[in-house]
Amino acid sequence: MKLSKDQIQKIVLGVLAGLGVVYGYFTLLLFPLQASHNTTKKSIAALDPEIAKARAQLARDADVRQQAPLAQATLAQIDRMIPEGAPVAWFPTRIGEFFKTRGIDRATTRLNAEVAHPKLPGYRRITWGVEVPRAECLTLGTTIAALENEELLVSIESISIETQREEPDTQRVQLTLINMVKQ
Amino acid sequence: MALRINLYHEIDSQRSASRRDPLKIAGYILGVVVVIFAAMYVLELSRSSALNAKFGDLKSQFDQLDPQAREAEKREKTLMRTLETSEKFVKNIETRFYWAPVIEDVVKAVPREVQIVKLTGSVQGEDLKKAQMTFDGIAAGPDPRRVAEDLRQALVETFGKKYKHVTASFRQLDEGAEMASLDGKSLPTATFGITISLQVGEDQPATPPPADRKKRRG
Repeated sequence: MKLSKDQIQKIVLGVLAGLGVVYGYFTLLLFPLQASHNTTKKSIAALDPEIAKARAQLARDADVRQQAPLAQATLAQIDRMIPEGAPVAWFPTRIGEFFKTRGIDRATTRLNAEVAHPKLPGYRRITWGVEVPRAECLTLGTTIAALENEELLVSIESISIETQREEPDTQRVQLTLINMVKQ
Repeated sequence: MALRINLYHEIDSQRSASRRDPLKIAGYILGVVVVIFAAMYVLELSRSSALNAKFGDLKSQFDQLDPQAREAEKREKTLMRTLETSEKFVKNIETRFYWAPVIEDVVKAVPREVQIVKLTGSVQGEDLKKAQMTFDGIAAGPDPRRVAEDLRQALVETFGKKYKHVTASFRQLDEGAEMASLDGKSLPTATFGITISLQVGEDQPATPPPADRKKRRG
């Protein structure tokens, strides 16, 4: 088959029109759409972990909120154990009364040191020296046991019990107490 | 035989030329391609639209959750502080070193041949508490040094049941100048000083040594 000049021109025109259509289709329609498609996909991929993170945060918060009342009640209970005012005004009196009610008449309490608690923000550690010049062995033992059981915010850091030469049945006692108070 | 003459040969050749018209054929092909492209575009558009809808949905979810999560994060920090403080307080209270049981054990362990003249003790540490005690006293008996040694061993045994790493050693053990009267007998004495150390709480796990990063050269 021999093509005429007119036919060749038409074929060339048809090919050019086809190329134009293909180019226009991909450049103006399909590629921008695919680019937008990919951008949306990326945005979804970025958003998914953010949503999961937010949900996890809310779940954690719910869990913490569930535990919080017990912790708040514990802290409130602890705060109620600490009287208002300067500790030096109430602690020596409290310890003196404590020993007195258990049969030890004299107990002198002095403030030794006061520092912010390293692990509990908002609280202080106060070191006190307690001197009991005369105490009976059994009474002393029960008093120390009672002090450790009843005064939860007090711990005995050091203890010294020395028999008195003049009265071998009684002891001279020195205690170093650590007490926690609010700042 | 009849002779047939085609008088429409020009019209026929025109028709034939029209059927073979490349422009027309190209138009058909182009039409098919356009239809295929249009179908592909519609398909892509619908997928993109579904994806956009999903993104919109997620975005609205995120916009709703994000402020809540930020608020929850702030609240959690405050509550965590409360929880930690409460937990540390309780731990602090529960892990105190109790001296009353120590004194009770000492009273039980000391035999009637021994008199403790002075007892001192101190405890140090937060989680792992180390206590050190010293006992000064007088032991009486036919062999007072043996009595003092028995006391040392009795103290190690008694404290060893409750505490960890219990060690006891004589700081001093000397013969006493005075005689002691026990059950109507006059017995020689020895003055002693015993130091006891013990531990309460769990040992901290040992920190692994840093890895040797330098490669050995052969």
